[in-house]
Amino acid sequence: MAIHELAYTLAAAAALSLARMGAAYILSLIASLALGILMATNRTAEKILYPLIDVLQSIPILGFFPIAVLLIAESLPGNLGYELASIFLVATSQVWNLIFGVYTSVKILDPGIRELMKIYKPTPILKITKIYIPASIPSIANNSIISWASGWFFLTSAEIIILGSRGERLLGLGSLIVELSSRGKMIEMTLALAVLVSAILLSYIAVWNPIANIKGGPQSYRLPSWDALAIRIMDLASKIYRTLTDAMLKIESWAIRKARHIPLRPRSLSIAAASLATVYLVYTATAQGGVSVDPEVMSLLPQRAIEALTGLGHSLWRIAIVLLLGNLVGLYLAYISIYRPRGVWIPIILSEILASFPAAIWWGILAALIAGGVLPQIAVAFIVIFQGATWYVFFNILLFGARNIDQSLIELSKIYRVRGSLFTRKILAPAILPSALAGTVAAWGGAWNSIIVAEYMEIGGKIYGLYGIGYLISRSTYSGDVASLTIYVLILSIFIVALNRTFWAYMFSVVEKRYRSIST
Amino acid sequence: MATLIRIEKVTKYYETDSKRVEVLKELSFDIDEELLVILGPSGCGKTTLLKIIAGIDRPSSGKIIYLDRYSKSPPVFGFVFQTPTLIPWISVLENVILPLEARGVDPDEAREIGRRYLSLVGLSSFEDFYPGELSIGMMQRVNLARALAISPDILLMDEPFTALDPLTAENLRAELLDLWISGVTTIRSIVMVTNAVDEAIYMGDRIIVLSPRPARVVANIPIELERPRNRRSEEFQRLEDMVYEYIS
Repeated sequence: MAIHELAYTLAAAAALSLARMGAAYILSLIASLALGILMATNRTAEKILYPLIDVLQSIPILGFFPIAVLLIAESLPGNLGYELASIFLVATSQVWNLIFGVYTSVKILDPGIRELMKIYKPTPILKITKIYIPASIPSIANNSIISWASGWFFLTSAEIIILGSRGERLLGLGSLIVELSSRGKMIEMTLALAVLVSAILLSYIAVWNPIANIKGGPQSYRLPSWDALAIRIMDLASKIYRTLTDAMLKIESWAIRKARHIPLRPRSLSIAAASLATVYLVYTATAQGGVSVDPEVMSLLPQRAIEALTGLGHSLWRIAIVLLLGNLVGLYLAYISIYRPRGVWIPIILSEILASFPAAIWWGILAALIAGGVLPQIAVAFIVIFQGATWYVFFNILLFGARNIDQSLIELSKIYRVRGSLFTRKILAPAILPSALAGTVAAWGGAWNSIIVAEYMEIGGKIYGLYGIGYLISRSTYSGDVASLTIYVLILSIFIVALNRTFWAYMFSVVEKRYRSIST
Repeated sequence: MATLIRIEKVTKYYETDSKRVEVLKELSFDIDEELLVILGPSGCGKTTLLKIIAGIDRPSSGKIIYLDRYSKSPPVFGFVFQTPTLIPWISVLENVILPLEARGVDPDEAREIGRRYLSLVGLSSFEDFYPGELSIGMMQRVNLARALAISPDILLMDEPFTALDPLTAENLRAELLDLWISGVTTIRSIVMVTNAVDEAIYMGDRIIVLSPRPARVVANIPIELERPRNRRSEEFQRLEDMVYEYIS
């Protein structure tokens, strides 16, 4: 490839990937506001959507391939379908923590504001635009950092959409790097990697970090940032928001004046929205259900189920080790962030880049080391899981736990010289425990997603496989075995949700009980 | 009367986005063996000054000089925060002994000391409670017990009574004065920050009056009234009028 040609390809790939990420983020933002607010304000919607989103969150990105390919990509002409499918897939890796963030923000709204609403009875649009959305902004600002990283991490998977014989490789940084690596073009790949790292770095320094600094609520340290661009973006966004809000409020007040006899009932509206969503999902399920009625599939079920369960066992201990390690590193980083706040930008920038680094690229870099016998394959798998999952722990601890730690407690410890292990035991660890647990549970979900790329990777025609549920899911996807894929994903989701509902729910209740007993 | 700390031309400013906010401007005064009240309007930088005295914040220019027997190693400070600032997930006793533990005192001994000071502030039966289970007045007593338990040389108090209701505040003021006058503590000097004129005259041996931000010393008024002081006495009223003159 000539230099100018390479430069052109790189620029185009970077622009396309960034555009996909941006489009997916906007989609995720709208979805999370709509669903989060709906869930937090409507009991029925909460009962239906909360468990549903919990399940969807646990489905690895490959599990969305059938929907992306069969429902979106193939129903639209040309590349447009695949572009939309790719954006949809990126969004499936960005949206979940945003939804839960909005949900929690509205759910824990200051009781004083609730009283205020009872007294002044604002209209639905007024409530949403002036109370619920602004209340969610800090959470969105902080969670966007996680979502953005998550999007990059799965970018390769979202740009190489292959389901058996069907599929498409879209031009983008993720697919380009994988292709260059499999063709052994090391210099070009290194250049592409440099572009990727720059794109990641730039998007954080110039957009997400300043937004989290400015809109992220009280904090003990600032993330490294360059504010000028982000301030313009936020100005523009708030102008658009104000215009939209004013327009909607005008329409609403006009509607209320004109149609006093048909009261606008937000509850019935939201139930309608919820049922529409359900209908859509049921439709989606049946669209693919067509495959699973096949008697051949039914006969395969027991065998596939046993495979899935043994695979789960193999993957489980790998994940457990990674989560434990992640929490220890997270605690250490939290300690540093408080005692050396000047140096905290280093772990933050590193986590942001590392968390964003697409999984497939690790394999591209490390495959040579495996081949040379320097690194056992399982070590690479661990690196990929660690890197694909633990940033949830780091970010939750660093963005929410340590950054929002009660400043007066830090001052207290400075005045009385409470340091080292005493400080860690009595103040730091308990203070970050809730966010560490929330991060661990999210990482637990993320780990199951990253296991599909940790246990199976094809580079330059060679397959690196490590038996586990991730291996099974990847193999069945790329060989187009939708039936087996469905069974594996189903069993994995059931397993994850079951543990969420038992083990993790228990952990949450323990922490909550301890923290509630002290806050009453 | 020995001078323990000399504050010499202390200036403090913060810089944000090329704007410089001056908080303290060339403050100079001595802290002797006395109950010194620093009086100033809210937001004038009193808390910052206390933190600088305690050594957890640095002046932008000027010096804090520790004198007397503290010229080699700084005095031990007790600090009563404006709000109780208790760690919510550990018990009242554990909160009180945390500074002791930080100084390497044996845990059993620390607990014994902690209990002694809890009973001194009238909370001996509450040691196993969590802060959230106490009233704000009780929490403020724990705050005080914690500051006393490390046997401080100097007690720094940041508007210790503002968070309390008037009745509780009045009781705690009297108790603190009792402790101070009876000499059961190791404290050689108390520096209290407040924005209430009558509290300053009621408690202080001397009042340093600060101006609005940037804070400068506008008056240095010794209070030579007999204790216990009577707020309705003519002397008291006269002093109050005088201090208000400086403030407004």
